[in-house]
Amino acid sequence: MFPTVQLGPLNIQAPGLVIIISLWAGLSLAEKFAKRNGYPADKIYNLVLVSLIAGVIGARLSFVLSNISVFAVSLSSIVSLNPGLLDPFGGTVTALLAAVIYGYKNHLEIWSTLDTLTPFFAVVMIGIGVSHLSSGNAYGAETSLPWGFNLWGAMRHPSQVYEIVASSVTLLIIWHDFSKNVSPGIHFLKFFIITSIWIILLEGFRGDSQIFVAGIRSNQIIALITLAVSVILYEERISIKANNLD
Amino acid sequence: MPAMQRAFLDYQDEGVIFLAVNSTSQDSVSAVENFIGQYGITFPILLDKEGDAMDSYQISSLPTTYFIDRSGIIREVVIGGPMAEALLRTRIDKLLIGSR
Repeated sequence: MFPTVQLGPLNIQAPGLVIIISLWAGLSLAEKFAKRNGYPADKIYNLVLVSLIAGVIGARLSFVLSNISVFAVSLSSIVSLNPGLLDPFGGTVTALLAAVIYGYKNHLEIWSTLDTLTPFFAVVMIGIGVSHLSSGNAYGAETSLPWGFNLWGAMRHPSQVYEIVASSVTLLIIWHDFSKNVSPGIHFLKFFIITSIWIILLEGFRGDSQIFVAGIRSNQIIALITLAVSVILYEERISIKANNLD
Repeated sequence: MPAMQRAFLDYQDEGVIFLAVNSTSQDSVSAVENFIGQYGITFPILLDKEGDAMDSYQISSLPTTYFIDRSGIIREVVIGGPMAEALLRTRIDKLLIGSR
């Protein structure tokens, strides 16, 4: 694949670069949608920025605390730019906490905010797919199909390309429906429903994911739970809209 | 590379093997010797004169670090550098889980 990009004397890690570009593009798109829907775009920008900064700091702190003996030997590694020294779970929890605190302090309505952020999430999902393609991670199972490509010593399903196509289609659907007048939360829940469905369908083509039981992957179980919760909440939001019309 | 040398000294008694491979097809033996002297490297540096290791391991960028477990399975590939010492040590600790 293309794990690094050579820019003059600089050898840049392509997956990280792709993620940064997708964060920027997603945020720009979310701001555009926020303005179109009369939502305070500056607050969306600040919310994402605060969450990202808190997420990165939290991810590093969590990693350091989990490996304290290693960092005691190498203190300078605490401020290393290496993304391999981040704990995704700790980062996610910290980012969510920061978002909740920021939203509470600024009186942001949760469902409208999540709707406004939906284009951001959709673009970042595409970015994650491209970063997987770049690094060769999330690779596909072996196949003899004509569109298989050579990766890690075997012809494989281009699972990263499937991921990019599925998340691009999700963005197009979200984009198409965004101007519709619906209950707050519908766009966000629709994004979650579509994304959960394609993860359930495409996960089976992966060659690296962890199998939970009877050939079912852990990510499929998580996506199934997410799908069920999203559908229940979606129905609830739809009924609120219907009741308001009555 | 100094970080790798320190880690080598700390982990060698636990059976961890450090092998550096020089892409000699793109470099020179004298440059390797200077490098060893400059950083005081004491772990083996292999010379890939024909580029066979580069091809076998599908190396697209230097440095590339492979973490290989006791069964010979590649558990992680880190492309680019310099690698933080903590990254090196956490990955080795992960490979050693169960054998300590």
